[in-house]
Amino acid sequence: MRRKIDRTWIYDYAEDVLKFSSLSLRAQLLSITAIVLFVLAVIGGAFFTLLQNYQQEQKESDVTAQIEFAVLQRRALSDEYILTQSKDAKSQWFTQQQIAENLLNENIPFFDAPTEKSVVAMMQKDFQTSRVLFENLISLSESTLQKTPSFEQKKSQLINEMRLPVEEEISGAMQLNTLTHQEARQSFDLIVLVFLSSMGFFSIVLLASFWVISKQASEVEIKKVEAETILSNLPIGIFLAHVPSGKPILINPVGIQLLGQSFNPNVSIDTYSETYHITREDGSLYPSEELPLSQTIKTGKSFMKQDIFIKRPDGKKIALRVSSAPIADKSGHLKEAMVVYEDVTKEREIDRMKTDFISLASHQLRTPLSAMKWFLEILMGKDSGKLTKEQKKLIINLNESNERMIDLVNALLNVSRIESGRLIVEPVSVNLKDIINGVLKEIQKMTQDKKQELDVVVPADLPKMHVDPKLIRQVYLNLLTNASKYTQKGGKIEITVVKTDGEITSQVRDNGYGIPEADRAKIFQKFYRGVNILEIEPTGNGLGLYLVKAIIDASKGKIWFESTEGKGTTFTFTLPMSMEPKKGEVSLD
Amino acid sequence: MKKILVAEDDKFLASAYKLKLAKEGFDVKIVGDGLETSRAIQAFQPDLIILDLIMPRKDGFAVLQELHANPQLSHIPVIVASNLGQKEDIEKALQMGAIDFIVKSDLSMEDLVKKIRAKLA
Repeated sequence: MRRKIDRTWIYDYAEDVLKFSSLSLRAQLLSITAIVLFVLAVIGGAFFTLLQNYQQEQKESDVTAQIEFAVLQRRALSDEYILTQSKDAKSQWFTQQQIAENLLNENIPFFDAPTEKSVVAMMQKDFQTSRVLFENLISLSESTLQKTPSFEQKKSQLINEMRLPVEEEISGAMQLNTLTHQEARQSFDLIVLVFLSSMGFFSIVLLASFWVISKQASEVEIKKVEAETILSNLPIGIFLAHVPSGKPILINPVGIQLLGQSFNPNVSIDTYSETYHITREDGSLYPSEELPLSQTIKTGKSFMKQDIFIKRPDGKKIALRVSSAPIADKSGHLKEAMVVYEDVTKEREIDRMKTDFISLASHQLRTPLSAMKWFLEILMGKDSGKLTKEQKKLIINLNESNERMIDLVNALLNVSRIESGRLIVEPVSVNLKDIINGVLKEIQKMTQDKKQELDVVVPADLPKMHVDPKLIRQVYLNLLTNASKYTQKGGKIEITVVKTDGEITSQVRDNGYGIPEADRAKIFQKFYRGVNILEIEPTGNGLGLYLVKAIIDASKGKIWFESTEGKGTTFTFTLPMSMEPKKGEVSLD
Repeated sequence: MKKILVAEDDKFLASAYKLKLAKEGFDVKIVGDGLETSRAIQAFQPDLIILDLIMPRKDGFAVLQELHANPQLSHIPVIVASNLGQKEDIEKALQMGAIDFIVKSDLSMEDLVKKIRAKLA
């Protein structure tokens, strides 16, 4: 079933997802833009060159038109001169001749096509010829030979001679004009072609970009739906906050549901506890700065806390397990913090019920065990009448079994207390030597019965430790009881204590039965007993080392051992000079 | 003969007390719940009380409180005998006026008698 989603928050998150997942999209768009810019530059350059070329061609076309005009003009002027011998026509002829010649000469570099070159050469030659002929015609016309037959003959001969170069000039000018006009036209066509093809190119680029973007967008959309679905269906609360403000970025539906009220988007790092009535178990406000979120923002590390409660507006108090984790970018800068929280009210209740059950059961067991212990004691006493040897032996066995049962019940009680996590840790300033001596006294009867030698080396200047004596006593008691129990009669047990860097290292060494290699990995497990001692020493409940390890772990110490089967075992453990106090509810017996 | 009042709801344990303490020469009265205990303190005027903590009708702490509040009776030494053995219970009982605390399953009758004799001496 899809849960109801607070769209706003998911949406905001999806925007962020978009930001992240669009990195590749951005890269693609960037490369497309680069290509487009490059092509634009090339097209622009080409366009510019083509335009310049076109302008040149246009200019040439103008020039050739002017030449053509001048040449035609000159023919008309020469005709006019021949008819009227007007001075005006004569001077204009030369002007036009000069214009045409100048234009031609000035623009020689531009007439670069072979046809153009040959036409220009021909025209230059014709200009010279026609000028000479026109000058001859002038000198003839202005000479005294006028109106003589030879004059007319000579004049018409000159006019005839002039016709050829002039016609050639005109056809050359016209040819040039046509050629340059054609070039200008071609240049213009090229510009149009380039323009149209660049338009085509841009259309393709545009379509490709659109395709890439829409593809990416649909992928992002899927990612968004994925994230939405995951977040909204997770049975735990998930919450993302900005660093360092602690302001919310995202919260999933279960997260809101657990808060028991609508989500406040303006909450920040200092106001979480007040806003959502986050408390300790005793109902006192949980200091905002001690919340996992605040600690992650402060230190950039992950945190987990199990002592957080929320008093919801409906009056329900729920227990939460809250963990927080940093979200950093590639360079390790803290960007966001994630908080995951779940309702552990039931879990706590069940756990408490289990502990209470064991505690109650053990307590109830203790009463009849106490009665048995006392009746057996009375039975064995002098006032209950004389017992036969056989009866006495049976009663001693009964008593031993009863004592074992009492030990087991005690150990079970202790295990349940440690496992409940409600164990009181109450460090006080203690002299370790006193604790060890107390334990030695407790096991004295046992070691004396087995005639075992005890060797204790504790430095006289051992500083006082700040530890819970009840817990530490249990560690030495269990290790020494084991050492005595699992060492043959007449064996040796050594206890060595040394102060090392900031901690105390203790060693309990025996030359007893040792731990078989196959059992070594399991000896700290609950109820586990080494196979080699099951027959030698059938009493024992497999809880001693489990308790020892649990206590040392809780004290932030370390324990390890070395053992050779048949030669003995050495347990070494470290304890910090100072234990952290813990407000619990139960203590060890 | 010194009078000892034993408040113990478990009848087997109660009879063990009775058996042992009577043999040791004490005048023993056994009561099985808190209300009965209160009444017996007045009527029996014991020299010492052995008080269980978990009892029907009224628990051992309530009896202690009552006893402590009564100046005529507050001098009677009380040994709390329980199977709880928890630090807080021990501290609470001692704070409320008990002179000693024993965990029944951890103590032999012999040691209990020694304790009683010491307290009465």
